[in-house]
Amino acid sequence: MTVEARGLGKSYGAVRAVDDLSFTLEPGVVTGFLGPNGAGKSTTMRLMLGLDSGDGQTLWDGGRLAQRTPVTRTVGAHLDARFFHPSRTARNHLVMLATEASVPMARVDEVLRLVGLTEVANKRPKGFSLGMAQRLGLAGAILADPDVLLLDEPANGLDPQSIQWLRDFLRAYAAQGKVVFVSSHLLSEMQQMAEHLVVIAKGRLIADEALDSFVARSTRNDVLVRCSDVAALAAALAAQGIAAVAEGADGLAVTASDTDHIGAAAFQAGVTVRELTRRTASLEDAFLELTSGEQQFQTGAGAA
Amino acid sequence: MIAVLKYELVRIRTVRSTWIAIVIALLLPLGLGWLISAPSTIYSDAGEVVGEGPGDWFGAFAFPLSLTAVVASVVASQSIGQEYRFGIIRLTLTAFPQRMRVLVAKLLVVVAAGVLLGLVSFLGSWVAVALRGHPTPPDAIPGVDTPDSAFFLRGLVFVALWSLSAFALAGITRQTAVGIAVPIISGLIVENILRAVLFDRAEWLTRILPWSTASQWFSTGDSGFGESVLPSGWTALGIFGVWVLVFVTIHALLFLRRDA
Repeated sequence: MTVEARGLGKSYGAVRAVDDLSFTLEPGVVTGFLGPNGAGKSTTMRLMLGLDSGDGQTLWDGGRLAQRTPVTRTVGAHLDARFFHPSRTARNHLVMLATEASVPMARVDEVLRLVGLTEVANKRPKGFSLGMAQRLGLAGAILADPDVLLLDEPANGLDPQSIQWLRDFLRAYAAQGKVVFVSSHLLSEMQQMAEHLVVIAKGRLIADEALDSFVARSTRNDVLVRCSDVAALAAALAAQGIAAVAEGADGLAVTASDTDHIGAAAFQAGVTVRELTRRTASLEDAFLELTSGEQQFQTGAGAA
Repeated sequence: MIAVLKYELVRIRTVRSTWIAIVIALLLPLGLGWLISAPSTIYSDAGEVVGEGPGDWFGAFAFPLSLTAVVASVVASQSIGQEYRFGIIRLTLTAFPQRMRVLVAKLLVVVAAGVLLGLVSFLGSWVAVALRGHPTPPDAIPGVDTPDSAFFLRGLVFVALWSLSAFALAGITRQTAVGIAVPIISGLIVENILRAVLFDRAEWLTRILPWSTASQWFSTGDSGFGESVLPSGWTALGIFGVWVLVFVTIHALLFLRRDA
């Protein structure tokens, strides 16, 4: 199963929330969906599911979602943790969702056990914490064992153990050859969870590539050198066309080079090297750098 | 279609308010029916009590059913309004992308719930009049059309149509409260004001006001107020049915086009 989003678009009045967005979700990997607040992530997911009207189309193994029955065996979606009736018990919520694909009741209990809600299965979810609500939403999404999981911020409100469980679960789910598409603001978690990224800003596609290559595009990937003569080393590197920026009294931050090359240059220049460290940008670094100026809603600088 | 119908049935039977509505639809007619069917006291010209007359047998069925229609409208309004309020409509339309099927299933379940509550209401009323010792309708009164089985059928149609009107209004506005309140406020207040204002200027308009006209379902022939004032029986339900068709059509058009 592959999912192809083709030319998705959506406007709210004069605001173009999603603009000609195309990407393909491949099976077997967790694909992270990133973007600043208001970038259009949730709208994109709703467009993919046909919940909102807009431009473009989404093909599920080449066909439309409505043509694939039972639909819940094709896609399980978790769009908001609070999408349940407060007086319908957790179990009955899942029983209701189970009807479309005729999911057996044993599977309902199995899923409740899987997400750790067995003890509260017959309780009304109006008193659920955000974390418990997330688990119920996730239970609904995986109930029919769908080929595709679409999850919008599933880690919100989860404690560290639950986030770790979610990460392991989604990776294992994808490893079964299924499509997992998950949005999150927790970039450190996304870095550990996703292998591929779709990044959008202001409704437009910024990146659709492997996580490693996305991170590698950051200029914050550099090498820190602490040495006996900063000026001499900088001159030696400059002679080779390598830029370096002073960092502290005895340090240089060198980009576009590697530790072997810098070590050799220092040796040739007669400079004693005290530290030579390769610094890799985090997903957060890369994300902030590549989406700077693309936020829909900017925070005020220096506000009192 | 079967799957979405099952979904709707599970949805409606797994919320507490549905069961509360059924209990109310039973107890309300039981209590009101008991009071309304109490024997009337017959006085002599001198003002002395000379005996007891029959209670208002039909009133014991008709009045509680009008209130049951309001209870049914709560269930109907919630079946769409709460889906939007709690976001469940997105789960529903993800599982069932064919919106027309979802709408038809909802309409069928709303009608079924209305009819069920109407039957429960009649049952409560019947228990009340049976406890009074009058389990069967009184004899026909000469010169007055006697309600028959059509009386009960009209009652069920009335509750079903009232439910549909509430459902459609709640769906159009995505607000449960609108579906419940508008028929009551319009039927009891707004339409009465309109009737008073329009009576001399456009009398025909006073006959086609939706909810107050619908409330004439129990009339069997002459409305008692004169045919020129309010239609009666099936005519009233026919007029109301046209209104309901308009509301449901608007709701359907919006439901099929708007974002979930």
